[in-house]
Amino acid sequence: MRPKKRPVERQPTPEPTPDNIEADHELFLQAFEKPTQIYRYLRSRHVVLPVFLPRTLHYMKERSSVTNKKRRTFKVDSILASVAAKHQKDHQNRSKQDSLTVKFNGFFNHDVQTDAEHADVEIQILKNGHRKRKSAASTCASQISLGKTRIPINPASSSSSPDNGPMITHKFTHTNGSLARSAGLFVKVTCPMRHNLPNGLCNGDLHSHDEPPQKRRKNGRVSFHEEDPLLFGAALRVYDRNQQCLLGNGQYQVVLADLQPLEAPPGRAASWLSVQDTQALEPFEVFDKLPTIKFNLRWDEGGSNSLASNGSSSPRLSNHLSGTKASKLREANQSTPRKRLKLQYVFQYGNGELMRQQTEVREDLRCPWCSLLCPTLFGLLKHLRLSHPRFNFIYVPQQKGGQIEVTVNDMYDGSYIGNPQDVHSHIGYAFSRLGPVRRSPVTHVIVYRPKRPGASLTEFLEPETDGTINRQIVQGHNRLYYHTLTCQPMRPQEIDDDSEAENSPPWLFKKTVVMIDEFTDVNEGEKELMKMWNLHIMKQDYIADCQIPKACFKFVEEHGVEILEKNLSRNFLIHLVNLFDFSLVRPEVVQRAFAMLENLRDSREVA
Amino acid sequence: MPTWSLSVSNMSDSEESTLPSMNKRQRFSAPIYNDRSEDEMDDLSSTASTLEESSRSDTPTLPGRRGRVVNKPPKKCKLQFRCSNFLKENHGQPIFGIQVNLNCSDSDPVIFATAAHNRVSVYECQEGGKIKLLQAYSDPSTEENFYCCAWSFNPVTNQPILAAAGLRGVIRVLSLSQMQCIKHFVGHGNAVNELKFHPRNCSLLLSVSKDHTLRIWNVHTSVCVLILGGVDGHRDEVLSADFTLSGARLVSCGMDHSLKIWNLDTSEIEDVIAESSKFNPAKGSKPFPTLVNHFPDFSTRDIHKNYVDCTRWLGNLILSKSCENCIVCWKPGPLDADANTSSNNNNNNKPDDSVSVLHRFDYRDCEIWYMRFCLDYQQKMMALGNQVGRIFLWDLDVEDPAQTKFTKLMHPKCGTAIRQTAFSKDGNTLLAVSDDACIWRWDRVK
Repeated sequence: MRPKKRPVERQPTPEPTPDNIEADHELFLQAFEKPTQIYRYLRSRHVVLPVFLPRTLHYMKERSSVTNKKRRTFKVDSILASVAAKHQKDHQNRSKQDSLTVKFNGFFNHDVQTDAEHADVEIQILKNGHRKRKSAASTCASQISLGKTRIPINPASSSSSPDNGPMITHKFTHTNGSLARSAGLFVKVTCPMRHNLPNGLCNGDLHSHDEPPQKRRKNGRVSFHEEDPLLFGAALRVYDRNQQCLLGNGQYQVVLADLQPLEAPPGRAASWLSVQDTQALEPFEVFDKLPTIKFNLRWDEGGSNSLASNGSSSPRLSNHLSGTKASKLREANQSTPRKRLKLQYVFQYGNGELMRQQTEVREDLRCPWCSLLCPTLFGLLKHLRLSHPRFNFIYVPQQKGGQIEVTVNDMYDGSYIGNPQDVHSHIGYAFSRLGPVRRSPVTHVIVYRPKRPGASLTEFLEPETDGTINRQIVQGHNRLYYHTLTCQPMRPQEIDDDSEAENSPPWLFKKTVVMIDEFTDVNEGEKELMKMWNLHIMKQDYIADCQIPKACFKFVEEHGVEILEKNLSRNFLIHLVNLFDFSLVRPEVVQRAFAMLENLRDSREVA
Repeated sequence: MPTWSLSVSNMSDSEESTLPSMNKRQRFSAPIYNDRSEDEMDDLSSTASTLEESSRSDTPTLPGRRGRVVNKPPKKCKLQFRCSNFLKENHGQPIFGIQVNLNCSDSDPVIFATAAHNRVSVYECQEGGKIKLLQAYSDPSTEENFYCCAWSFNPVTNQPILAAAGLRGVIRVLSLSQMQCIKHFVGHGNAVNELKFHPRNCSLLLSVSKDHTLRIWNVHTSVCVLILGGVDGHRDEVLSADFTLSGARLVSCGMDHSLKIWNLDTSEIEDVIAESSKFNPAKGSKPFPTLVNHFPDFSTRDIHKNYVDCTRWLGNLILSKSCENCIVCWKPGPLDADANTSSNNNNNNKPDDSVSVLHRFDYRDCEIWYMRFCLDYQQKMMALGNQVGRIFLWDLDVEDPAQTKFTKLMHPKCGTAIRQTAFSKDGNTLLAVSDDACIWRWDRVK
């Protein structure tokens, strides 16, 4: 269930004792546990086997990262033109060579105890090319060394010899062939070590200065070979993926990271090490305490063009943003001014007399049940109402965000609301493995574009109306029916055919006859007449006493000849009198019916 | 989709296989008769007693015909069989049905199918008593428990097909060449107890159900042709049924102690059968007009006083058994009347429901229900297993029914109820299935 629950009693209730809270929680679970379990299950099923993609929903359009705007104007013939134009643009760019000049001022490291006056510096260029349709490793990085030079260690003045200091130049070319290529500079400083001094004063160990060397040795950050020089490095991004130059002209002071190979103490398996805590250092202290390198960077020729676009950043500022630590700072800075959204879910439950509620505050637009991140509040509310119909959702706007009242939907209709034809489809043999077969004809809705009102939150202010709940697009029976006689499933095309009209099934006629035959105290003539009469009553569906006279006349009309042939007219007369005895017919009916039979006999004799 | 899986049962080609462990679901204390002579029949009092109730084999206790001692057959029966092999299916559940494929020539190997648990297995009898598992079909539903199966063939390709059904009442039609369930028929309201194919029309399948009715299906057009049951039909589970050799009549029996004969050669039924073979559900929107026959042509409750769980035609005579240790050979109507006309000659007033019993084949220790006997292809031998694992084998090829003799086949490792037996087409092999998931093969000794 949800992590945080703050039970809030709407009405003043007795002191919340532990028992009370427990009972309250029990009630809460009773109301919300089952539907929540169902929705959690559906969510995990959707993750494994999605039925649809949320971004295809009209209220989730923002989830789609690709717009369809170009579709309207798109023509197949235009593909070549656009590719050609792009190619030409690349070609122009390539002709513009940007040459980068780096002039080093010096390597500053106050902790390092070394006699050497010069350190070796090497600049490498790292290129990340993203290639389409590559194997799992979609990025391929290449490393090219631009040059090596010697720079002074801890020169007296940082600006002593900016012009005639060691420098490296490189010409950047915009190569084509790979998409979204980003490039970075990697500055590597090799600082030779003095022999007899405790070495390994690396970054990150600053605050453990006073520790005895043995202990420092233990943490595995110390080079065991004292002859080895110290290695420092820093990476700077030159171009980002969009070919934007991030590195402007100016003077840079870059914090270097220790590149000493981490030697794991013997007998200990490799394990995750926590990243050094950077909070101890103020942003600008970094440059004083950690080893840094200073250099001037200048772009020549075409480089200035792309620089102009984002040249607003001052050199000093871009200094701060170097290295991994700085980027971390940047992230932290950016997250603070974001607008806070507060969504308060109010879960209401309990019986009619005492309603209880629990609230839960969320600061994002994730659905609490399926943790689907909705792009808008409208989308979230729409999703909640459509995907979680076992609950009622009512939106109450508030100053910051809003409040969503959640109650269990007692009216929830769990019956099948999909395409009614789908329940029949199994009767057909479509998608058989044994080759193509005819399937039962069904209707499917492929595209449905109704007129939708604009996205407005007002529709969530009041409960759903009947019209909006469980609206079926395809009309029809949403269950499978069976033939009563054979108990076999009914195909969709058979559904209108009423096979169950059996007011007087043939077997009943037969059974009646058999049963009359079984009488022992009735003579054969009476049996014959009773059979005829019973079948007549059954077939004509007479149901009331008032219909008996009519039944008598009709009987003579239909069976008169048979009565005469079987010589049953006396039996018929007795039957009529019997009906009169039971007050079912009046005397004149008896007379008239028998007269009809007499007339029939006369006409037959004449013929 | 049902799947075919070839699972090898605990197979043994020799008699040295382990003794089948006692089934937990065994319902009877198995009395051991090792100290008795084989053909002893004069003591009927030492019958086993029922231990459990509400099981498939439970019968309402009834005093029955006790003490009715039949003359001991004077001579030994000339039929001699030797148990050449037995094997055990690995599910450990009772095997209820076994059927040998008789739609084959004499040179073909003996192929038979067993129905047990949710599985239908197809085996081949090989030389030297070997039994080879060919295919095993396992129902997708674990709750299925097949009770019976029946063989037929596709009239176009002549490939064998096998129908099986059981507890769930769904009839599965399996194609052995496609190794698949090609069709299934839903419609019976309850378990199906027996399946039979029409002897002359390979498409017509008779199913006998717990829902008090019998149905005839057309397997190849997938329609329910005929339902036999209703006002005058069976009043309880139907347990068994059989076609005459010509297929013109069938006899059914069930838990209502009754036996009913249904004529299929009326014009109405012949029409609907003819129509069923032409029916194409894809054309037209009307369902097939299934015919319902509520009225059997003959009905009797005079033969047995308990569940009638097996019946077979023997020419124009009927063999039927209940759980009364007796197979009755009888015919409807008086003894001298013509069998074909007995039910029709005087139907103007009331149908004659008299019966004439010709002979009783007595045996013992077979008082549970759902025990089936079988006849061989020539109808010269009859075999029935009992609840303690013995098989009674009658030689019917005698002049006088009073002279029939039987052999009792017994094996020391066979101690549980033998549900059904089946003869190969040539009569040289007798197969039996028992409650401890074993299949027993007996070969004729010449």
